[in-house]
Amino acid sequence: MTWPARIGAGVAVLAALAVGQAVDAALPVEHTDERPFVRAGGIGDRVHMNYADVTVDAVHTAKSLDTPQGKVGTPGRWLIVDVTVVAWGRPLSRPAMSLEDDSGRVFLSDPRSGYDWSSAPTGVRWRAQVPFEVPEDALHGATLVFSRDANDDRRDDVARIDLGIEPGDVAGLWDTQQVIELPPAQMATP
Amino acid sequence: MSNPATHVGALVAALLLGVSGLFGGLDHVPLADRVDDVEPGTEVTAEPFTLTIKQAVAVDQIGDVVSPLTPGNHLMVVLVDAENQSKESLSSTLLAPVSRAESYRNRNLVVLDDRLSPTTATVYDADSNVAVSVLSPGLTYRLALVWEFGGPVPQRLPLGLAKLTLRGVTISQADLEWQDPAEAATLTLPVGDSTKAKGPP
Amino acid sequence: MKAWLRRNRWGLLALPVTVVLAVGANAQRLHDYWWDQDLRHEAATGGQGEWVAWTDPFSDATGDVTRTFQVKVTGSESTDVADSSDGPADLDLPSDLTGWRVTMDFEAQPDQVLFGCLLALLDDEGNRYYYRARANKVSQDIWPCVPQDHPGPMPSIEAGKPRTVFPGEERPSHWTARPVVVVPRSAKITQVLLWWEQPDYLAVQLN
Repeated sequence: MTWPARIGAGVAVLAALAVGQAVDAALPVEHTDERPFVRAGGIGDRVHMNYADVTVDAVHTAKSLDTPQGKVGTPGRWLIVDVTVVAWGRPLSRPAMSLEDDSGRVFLSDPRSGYDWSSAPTGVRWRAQVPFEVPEDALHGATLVFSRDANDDRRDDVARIDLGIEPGDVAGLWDTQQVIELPPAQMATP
Repeated sequence: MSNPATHVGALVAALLLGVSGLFGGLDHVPLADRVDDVEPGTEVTAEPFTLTIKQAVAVDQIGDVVSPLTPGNHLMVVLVDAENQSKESLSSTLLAPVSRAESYRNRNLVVLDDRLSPTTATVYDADSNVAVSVLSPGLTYRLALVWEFGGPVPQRLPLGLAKLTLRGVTISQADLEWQDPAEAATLTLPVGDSTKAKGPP
Repeated sequence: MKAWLRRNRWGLLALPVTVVLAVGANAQRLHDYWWDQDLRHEAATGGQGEWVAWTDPFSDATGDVTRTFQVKVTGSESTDVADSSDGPADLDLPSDLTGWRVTMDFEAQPDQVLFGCLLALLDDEGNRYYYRARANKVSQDIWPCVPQDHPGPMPSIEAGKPRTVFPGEERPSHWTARPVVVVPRSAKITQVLLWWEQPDYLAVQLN
């Protein structure tokens, strides 16, 4: 190669490296936006997502749950969220549901509650009662978070539904002696 | 695995892990000087939980629900009050005790007597005898930690309490898990004996 | 410039081929975790009223084998009843749902393994409605494509052991299946899909 050609090649390589550095500095990999798309709503709202519509119909509490393994109590109270879900496109087999309180604590359901989702068939109104066990200070401002998959909600639709529990409701909800048997998730009858 | 060399190897490894693991004897500072020994019934912080270990009792079975798999073995039941101090629901497996050889695992309780060590321990709700998987934050659970052991019922059960730290997982720093067990305290429980077969006359 | 192109022409021609090969050689994950995880390969297709034949390769403990059969869809309509083991039973559905029955004639040698078939209906919006044995209150047969109690041979699950048919479960060489799937009343059902192992499936266009 002639000298000018060598220098030209060297400049080209350095320029390519510089461009690569600039791109990486301006758009670093760690800052890739993988946040889910949040669809918000309240009790009674039909929250539309690309894989399902979710409606929270009601919220109630129980002191213990009547399960196949016997009566199961809790050191707090069981907060039961009645939801109706319609799956689109494909059946919804394992959605992730959690409860968030207003200090950001996250509550999940325990299998000892007897809770059973079963797969929601496509296009069918599917009714479930989802139990969470909570301390008294988690009730006011509690929100249901519903996503398609427990492991991965990157850039997916996620529903956040405010359960509408006001400070005045807390004492009534906490003061329950109810023993409830959770029905398995099933088709909603009219 | 029928190669005798592997057998011996496995035993030696378990011994070395037991001696060199948490609450082991290889540290030049004796265990008693490294951590506090607490009385049963004392509230101890072993992140992410606050634990009150109340009593231990050996039984033959629990209701109709739990029995030893190997005939002749007994069940060790440790009654614990546990409060989840973290901001998220946690798996109850964190509280299932392990042997000293397995004390590198991300668990809060280690059984310091190798003869009494659990192969697998299960965590039950002490009031309903139903297994618990998920412990919600802000609640104090009354739990029974149960595992099978062979041989005579001991007088004492020495336990090590370990604390964990919430850290990013190696392959994905954004995913946080409770890891890196570190010695927090030791505790020795007297063992009540509720078994029927009390040994040869 | 021209001289450079001429000297390097074979290299330049090989370049796109090499890039494709390099990417393709690393595509194992794409195959295992995407291609194989859904119905992606329409292996056989036809219309309502015509016989559709399919030879579907699969493997069990005896090795790589195939299943061969023919199916003809003779009916596709809305219904309020489904076949349970005690005969036709009312689905008792809310007003926004209906049962959809697809009637299919099958022909296959009795030794073909058709046990374990899966079925779904497709509508014009791309929604996939999977067959479930339990249609609201009615318990239909577990498999939508073989006669009740006569599914024929099962795949071999132990190396060296041939496929077996349990006594009394032999399958005839012709039969009709009438599975019902619960769908929204407003859905326009356009296809029925039959499959065993993803990604291969058979699709019949419905009228």
